[in-house]
Amino acid sequence: MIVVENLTKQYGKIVALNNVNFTFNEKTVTAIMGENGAGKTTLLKICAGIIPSDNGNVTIDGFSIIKNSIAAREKIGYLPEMPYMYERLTGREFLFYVASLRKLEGAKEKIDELSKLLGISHFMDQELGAYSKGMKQKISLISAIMHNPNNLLLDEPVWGLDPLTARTLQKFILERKGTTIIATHSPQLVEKVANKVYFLMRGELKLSGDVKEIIQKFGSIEEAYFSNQS
Amino acid sequence: MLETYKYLFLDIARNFFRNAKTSPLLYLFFGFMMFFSIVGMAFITLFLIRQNAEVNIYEVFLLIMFVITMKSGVDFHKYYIKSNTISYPLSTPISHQRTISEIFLVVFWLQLGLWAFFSILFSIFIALSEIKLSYPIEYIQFTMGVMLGTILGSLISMHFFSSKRLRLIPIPIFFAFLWFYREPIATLIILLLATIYLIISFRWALDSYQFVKRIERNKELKQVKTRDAIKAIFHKETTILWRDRLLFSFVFSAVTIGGFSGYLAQFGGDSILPEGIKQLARFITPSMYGFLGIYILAIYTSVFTSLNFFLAEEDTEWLIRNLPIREKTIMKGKAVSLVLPFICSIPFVAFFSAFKGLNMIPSLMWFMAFSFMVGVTISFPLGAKYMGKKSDVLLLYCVAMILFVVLAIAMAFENLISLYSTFLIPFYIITILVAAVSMFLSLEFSTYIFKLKYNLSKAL
Repeated sequence: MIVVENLTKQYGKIVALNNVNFTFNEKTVTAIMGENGAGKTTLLKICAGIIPSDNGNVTIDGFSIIKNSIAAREKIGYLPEMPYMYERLTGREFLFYVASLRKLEGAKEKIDELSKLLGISHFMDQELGAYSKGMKQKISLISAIMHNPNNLLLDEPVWGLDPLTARTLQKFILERKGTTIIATHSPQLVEKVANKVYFLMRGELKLSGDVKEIIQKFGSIEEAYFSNQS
Repeated sequence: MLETYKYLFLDIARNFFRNAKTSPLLYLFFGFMMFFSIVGMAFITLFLIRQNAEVNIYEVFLLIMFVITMKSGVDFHKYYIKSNTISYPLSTPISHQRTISEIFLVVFWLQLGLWAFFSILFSIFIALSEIKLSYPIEYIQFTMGVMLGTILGSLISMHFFSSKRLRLIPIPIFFAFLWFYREPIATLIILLLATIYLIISFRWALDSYQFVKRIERNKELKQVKTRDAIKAIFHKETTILWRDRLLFSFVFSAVTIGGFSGYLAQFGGDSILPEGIKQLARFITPSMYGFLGIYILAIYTSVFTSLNFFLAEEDTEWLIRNLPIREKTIMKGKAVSLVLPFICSIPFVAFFSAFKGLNMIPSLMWFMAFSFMVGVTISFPLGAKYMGKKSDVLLLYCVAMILFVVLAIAMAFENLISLYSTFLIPFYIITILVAAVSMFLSLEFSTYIFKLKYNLSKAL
C-alpha cells in the first residue's frame, strides 16, 4: 500500500504537485491520467525515491520513503518513462547487476522466465546501446518486476512495446495482487486494466473514482478526461 | 535558413549559462584556472624571449592544431554522431548534407571562438610586458591551423564511427604533408584539399549516424551472475572500462609515459625534444621528469576515471536512487573499482626504472600510490556533487590543477628531507597513511554530499 500525504513539488516557479493526497490500496490497479506536465511522472518519481518532495511524505507499506528509504525501496518496482541504462552492458548483465544490488535469489531462473515471456530472450547478450526503444523498455520492465515487488510503479508501460508484449503486460498487471500505479496517456489501457483512476491537472487532483463508475457517468475514460480538462 | 545551426548554437549557449548559474563556484574556479593557465603560458613565452631562446613557431602551430583536432573530433561526435535530438532535423525535407554541414559549422565557430578568446587574452598579457611582438603572417597561419584542425577532427569523427573506415586514409596523408612541408603555402594547400574532402564526406555522413555496432557477448556468459553489492559495482565499472578499451589505454599510457620520461631523465631532451621545449628542459632535474610523468598518468588513470564513474551516471541516476542500496556502498564499490586502473599504471615504474636504474623504485612507487590516492580524494566529492551534470572537462581541469599543487608540495617535502637523510622510508609510510586516511574521509564526505544532494534539491 502506498500513502501519499500533502505532497508538494515545485520546479522553480512551476508547481508540479500542489498538496496532493492519495491512498493506493492493495489488489488495486490505479491509473494516473493528465496532460503533459500535470505531475504524473513527478508523483511516481517521488514515490520511487528518485527525487525528493518539497513538502509532505510518502509511505510504502508503512515505511517512509525519506526516513526508511532502503526498506521502502525494497518494496518497490519502478519502470521509468525513459529507460536509460548502461549502454556497454548486455541486457542480461544489466539485469544481473540490478538483481545483485537487490540481493535477489534465484535471479537466473526469474530473468530467463521473464525474458522469454516478453520475447527478448534472443537479444539478451547484445549490448544495450544497440537496443531499440521497445527492447530497452522490456529490459527495464524485467528489472522492475523480477523481485516480485508488492508495489509497482509504471510510467507509460506500453509505450514502445509491440502489441503482443503490450497484451502480455496487461495480463500480468491484471493478475497482480499488490499495489499497482500506472501513469499513462492511454484511455484504452486504463479501461482494460485499472480499477481506479485519478485525473491530475497542473499538479492538482481534478477527478477521481472507480473506473466502472466513471465510464457509466461519462461514457468512456476518454470522455471523462476531456470533460475535466477545461 | 540555417535552422539547425541556429538552434544548436542557442542550445549550447543556454546550457552553458544554465550550468554556470547552477554551479557558479565550479565555473568561477574554472575561470580562475583558465586565467592563470594563460598567464602561465605568457610567462613561459616571456622567459624564453629573455633567454634569447630559439622558439620553433611551427612546433607550437602543430601543437595547437593537434589540440583543436581532438576538441573538434569530440564536439562533432557529441553534436552529431551521439546526439539524441539530431534525428528531428534529419527527418525534415531539408537535405541531410545541409543539416550535417550546419552541425559542422557550429563546431567550426566554437573552435574559432575559443582560439580568438585565448589568443587575444594571451596577446594582451604579452603586450602588458611592453615587449613588442608582431607576427601577422604567423597569426594567420595559426588561424588556418585552427580551421584545418576543426576540419580534420570532424572528418576523423565522421569516418571513424562508420562502416567504412578506409575513408580515414586521406587524413594521415594530410598530417604527413603538414609535417614535411612546413611553409604557410603548404598549410593553405592542405586546408583547401581538406575542405574539398569534407564537402565530399558530407554526402557519406549519414552512414556514421546509422552505424551502430551490434556486439554479441555470448563468450562472457560465465561471468554473468549475482554478486555481493560492492563486487557487482566493481564488475559493472570494470566491464565498462574494459569494453571502452580504457584498461588497455591505461597500460599503453603507463608504458609510453614511463619510457619517454625515463629516457628524458637519463639522456636529457637534446635529441628528441622540440627546440622551444628544449630550452625549458635544461631546468628540469631527472626526478622532475618522474614527477611530471606520474602526474600526467595520475590525471588519466585516477582523476579521469574517478570523475567518469560519476559523470557517466548522468542518465542512470534514477537506478541508483531507486534501488535499495546505501550511498556508502555505491561509493565503496566505485572506489574499489579504481584498483584496476592503478594496477594498469604500475608498468610506468618498470619502464622509468629501465632507464634510471632500480634505486628509484621506492620513490616512484611511493609517489605513484600517493598521487593516485590524492587524485581519488579530490575527485570523489566533486564527482558526487556534480553527478548528472555535463561539466566533465571543467571538473577534470580543476582537479588537475589542485592535484598539481598538492603533489608539488609533497615532492618538495621529499626533496627537502632527502637533503638531510637518505633513509626516506618513514616519510613514505607516513605520507601514504595520511593519503589513505584522507581518501577514507573523502569517501565519507562524498557519501554525505551524495545524500545531501537529494535533501538539498528538496529545499530548492
